[in-house]
Amino acid sequence: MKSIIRVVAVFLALAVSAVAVQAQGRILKEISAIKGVESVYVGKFMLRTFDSVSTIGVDYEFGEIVGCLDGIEIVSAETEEAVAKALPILENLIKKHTPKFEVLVETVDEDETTVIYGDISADKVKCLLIVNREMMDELSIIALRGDIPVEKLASITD
Amino acid sequence: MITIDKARQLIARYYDGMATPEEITALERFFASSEQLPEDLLQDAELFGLIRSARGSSIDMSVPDGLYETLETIVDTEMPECRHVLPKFRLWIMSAAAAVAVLLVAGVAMWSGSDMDRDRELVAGALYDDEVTDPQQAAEITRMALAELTGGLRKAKVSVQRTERDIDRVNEQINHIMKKIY
Repeated sequence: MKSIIRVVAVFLALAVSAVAVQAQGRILKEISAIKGVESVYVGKFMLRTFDSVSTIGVDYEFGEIVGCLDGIEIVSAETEEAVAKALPILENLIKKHTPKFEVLVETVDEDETTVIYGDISADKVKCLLIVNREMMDELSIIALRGDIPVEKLASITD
Repeated sequence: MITIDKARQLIARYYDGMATPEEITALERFFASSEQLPEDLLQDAELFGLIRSARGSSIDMSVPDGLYETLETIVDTEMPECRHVLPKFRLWIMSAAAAVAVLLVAGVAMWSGSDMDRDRELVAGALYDDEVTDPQQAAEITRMALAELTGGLRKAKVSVQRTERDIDRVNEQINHIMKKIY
């Protein structure tokens, strides 16, 4: 009986690790596949090539954050039809994401709404979603994945 | 009689297991009748010679009658404990458990939205269609993404500060009125 339990335990561990590995994948892939949506992706390798802050010409705090990133995804929809298709997927993504996304910031400026969602666990930000919506026909989403300490994120607003 | 070059070709086929019975016979005849052979064929000639002599010997290669039964009796009497190491029903249960576990892994992978595109990232060197490989462009995009993040966070901070100032102003007004009253 012990052997059976061991076999099942090993396979369950494999299943859990398979989910964990997949969770590291791209989260905006489904939206990027929508017709009329433009997408761009900067992978971990390219981000690691920015070995110095001066490489990308950003502030010091920015440079520190770049070093904590694993990937940047940007999608933008500029037609009403594409936005209409992307929004339910985004909503679903935010609802089903584990652990749950928290709304960090929501700003409304006339016709423009920006919401920043964060997946925060143990003082580390694992994923940030910056959703910017303007009118009915403009939507852009930026996903930043990595292991960003919360204090580094807070420091960039100073 | 085949030529030396042809023999070389057939030997290559022979070692690959591709030679037909006719080609094998041709090779056997070639090695049996050739006296002076190039150096690269000497080992092959030796092998074919051994095969020829084994075929011509009178050693009885047939399996003795009752060998299987004798071996089975030895196994049953000498190693009875081996039969109890993995009883059939236990093997069956373990196989079933493994099958269920494999199905679980596959099911969980499918449920969690596995797709080829996502998995490609796990393969070293694989790139997405929209993946940026130009460092200049990547730097520009990174800068822009971080600027959006900072802009959003700062905007919120400014709003909070403005609200705090408004609250302070209201408090001042209240204090002023209270002083007038009392």
